[in-house]
Amino acid sequence: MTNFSLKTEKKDGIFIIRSNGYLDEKGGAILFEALQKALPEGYQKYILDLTESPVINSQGIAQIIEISEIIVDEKSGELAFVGLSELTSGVFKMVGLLQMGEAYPSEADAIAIMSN
Amino acid sequence: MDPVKEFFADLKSPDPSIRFSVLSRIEDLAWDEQQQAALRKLIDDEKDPGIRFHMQKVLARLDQSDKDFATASEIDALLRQDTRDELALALMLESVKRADAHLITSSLRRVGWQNFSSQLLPSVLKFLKKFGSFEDSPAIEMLCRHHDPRVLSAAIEALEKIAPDSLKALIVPLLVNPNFGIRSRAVRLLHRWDPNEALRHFESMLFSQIESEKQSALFHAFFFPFDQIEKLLLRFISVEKDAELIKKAGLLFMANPHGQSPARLLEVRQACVGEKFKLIDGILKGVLTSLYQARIVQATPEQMMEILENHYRQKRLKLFVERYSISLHSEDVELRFKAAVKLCDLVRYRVPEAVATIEAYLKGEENSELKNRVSEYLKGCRPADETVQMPIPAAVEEKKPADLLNSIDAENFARVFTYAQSNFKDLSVDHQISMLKAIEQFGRKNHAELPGRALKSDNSQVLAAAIDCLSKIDADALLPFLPQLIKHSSDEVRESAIRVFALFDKGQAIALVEKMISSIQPVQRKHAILCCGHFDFQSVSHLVLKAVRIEGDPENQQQLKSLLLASADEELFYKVYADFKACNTSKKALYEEICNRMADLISSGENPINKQKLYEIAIQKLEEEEKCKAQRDAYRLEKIQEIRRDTENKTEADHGLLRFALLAYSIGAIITAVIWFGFLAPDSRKTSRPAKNQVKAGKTVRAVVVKGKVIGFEPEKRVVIVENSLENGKVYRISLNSEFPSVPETGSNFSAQVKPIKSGQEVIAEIITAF
Repeated sequence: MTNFSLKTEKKDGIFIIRSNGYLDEKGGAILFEALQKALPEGYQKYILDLTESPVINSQGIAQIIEISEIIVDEKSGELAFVGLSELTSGVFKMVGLLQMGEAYPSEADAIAIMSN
Repeated sequence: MDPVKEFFADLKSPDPSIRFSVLSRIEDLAWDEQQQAALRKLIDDEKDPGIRFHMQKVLARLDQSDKDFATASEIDALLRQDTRDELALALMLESVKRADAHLITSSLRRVGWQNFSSQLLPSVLKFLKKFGSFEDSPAIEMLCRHHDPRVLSAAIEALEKIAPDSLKALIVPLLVNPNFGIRSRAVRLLHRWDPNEALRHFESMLFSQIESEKQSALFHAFFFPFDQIEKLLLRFISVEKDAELIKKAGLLFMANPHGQSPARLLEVRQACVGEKFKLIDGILKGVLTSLYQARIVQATPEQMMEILENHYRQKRLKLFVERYSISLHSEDVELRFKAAVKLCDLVRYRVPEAVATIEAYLKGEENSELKNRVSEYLKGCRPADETVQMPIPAAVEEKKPADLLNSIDAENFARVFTYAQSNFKDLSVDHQISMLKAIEQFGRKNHAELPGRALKSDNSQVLAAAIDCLSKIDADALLPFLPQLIKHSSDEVRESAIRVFALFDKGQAIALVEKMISSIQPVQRKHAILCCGHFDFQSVSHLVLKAVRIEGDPENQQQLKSLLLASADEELFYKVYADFKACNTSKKALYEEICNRMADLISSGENPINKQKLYEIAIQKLEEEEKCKAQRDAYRLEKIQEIRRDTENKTEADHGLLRFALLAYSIGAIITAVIWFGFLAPDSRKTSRPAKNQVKAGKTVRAVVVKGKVIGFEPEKRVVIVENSLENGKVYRISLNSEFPSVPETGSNFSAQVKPIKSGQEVIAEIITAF
């Protein structure tokens, strides 16, 4: 059995989601739920920190694409990905997720750019 | 790489779809003045109006000092102008406040936005995807038949959001669209209501002869449930030769780790050599790392690899012993002998199952002559420490190399080999075979000269042994001989040769096996089935299932059963069960037996599933399939392929030859050419006959693949001169169309499909597609 959990934090007007564990269909659903809670609060900037989720499967990817579309296309918001492993970075590039959000090595880097 | 530099590199791609797609990632890039100037220069060079418009839009956005929202009244005013500024409108539609969106949509409807230019439509459709409603769907539906793939793509995206059900009626035109990106997107949509047929379309794209079609299939593969496409991807990486495509498919395995995939990947890896072996090994290790990182398994990748390799060895040995055990019961004395020899050879490697099987067989063999032959052969196969030792060790030392030919071991190998090198021709057939087996077991690449000589033997057993031997110690040395060996009169030799050929070109080797499987001679079919056993199962599973359907020989049926049971899993069970239900002949009993045995294996395996549940799911799957069949007529793969063929008839390219040409470039033209023209090429009499519906006066245009270095270019005429490495350096003078933003320079690589216009010392040609 795999465990997935996530933590959220609101910092400088940015909504940060930190995931932990294998991001599969269930993990993706938990992620989606967290985003849906944040949307009514009017956040426009989001950081998805995937440092502790080095493996994301196809269904997890599908959920992240949906989340990205909501943030970027529907809400005209900004999205940043942090801590992408070599594998997830390759996958994100292949499916076009890096066109939806910028990748940063650390949360601090992402916050610095997004806060400007 | 610097993102701006990467962006510029992609913008120089000859593929317009790549140039267009990179534009969308421009927004977040930081541009300095020099880079903006470079972008302006690229706009001047861009021939495609759609891309040029989008580039201008990007530049205009960069020129805007602040990002003000466009108001509904501003946009409305712009829309009312007869000669409106399209660039300004596109930019404004990107910066609309949600509260104004409904007013802007009304304005757009009033002016009939669907009649806007092809350049502007993607921007409007992007806006409607975000703010449009069901009311806009009829107009968007119309654009789902637009000739411009960018408009079409944006229309599909918008409709998918606003009225996804409307896409159902559009599936046929989308599936026959010449743009592979649109086709693969259509396949993804089809998966929503007919997954099985969608997977057949996906399979057809994945195994296409055109690289960009395969690229599209792989891109969309992430949107299919992995368990439904895993077997196809395994077959894909097994037969594919392009390293980049294999790596892309590998990402799917690594991102979707599960307990069974490492064993399957290991099987594929073991059927490869050289660079391909390393590639699959990298994927396998990546999957093991993912399993560990995702905490699906506790064992480290290294521990897992060790377990897997042991498990694989056991599985192959079991399959091997089982396969030849079946032939030990053959009525044909020679076949029994050959099977016994194969099992004896395993005794050399101390395989206990082989020892037990051969000993039990010898006890029951009634033909005394055969029994003696096998016993004699077996003696030479027993490892030295298992044979009865002479009381005085010195006596062994005194033995001449010629006397040791029946008992070669690691210690005396070098001595016997030196002797055999000078006397090989004079040795008996049995001794020649013994020597070759010993080289296979103890030899290295520097021993390859002797088996190389044996390839000229008239004796098929010696030949087969030489092939087996060389395939282990120096497979490359076999390459020049493969064309002859593959058409050898002996089935045994052919089987060995195909097995080796598969290491270099599995796709063509499988095609050869498929031909043999349809042979009217049971012995040929038997060798084809044995060949299947040497390949990784996923690459030939479709052939094995096909063989069961047509095979009438009981021994061959048993071999097929053994192959299926060795790779039993749920998916295979459902396929066999479907064949069982469709079978109306006496073969039903065979199917029933395979299903039962397979269900037993699955229900007692590592991830057991209840036997009854397994049958219930199989029945349910068949019922779902029946329901879908009724509505499938319009978009059935074969139907869609027929429509595509009709459309493409104007330019008749020999796709088989095209594929051949690409293969020839990568593995050595002569060998592939001989194999292609000797065995796989369609009958030229058939292909040269004009199609029924062909235009009467129309001259058939044959496309040619040109791949090689650019040796000259004339930028002002947009002409490039290329030496075609696929035709021994024949020179092509090729006119380029607007797909090429700039003419490739001397020394750069070039690869494209072209239409020859005039032959001569130089072939004058026009470009069709760049690869």
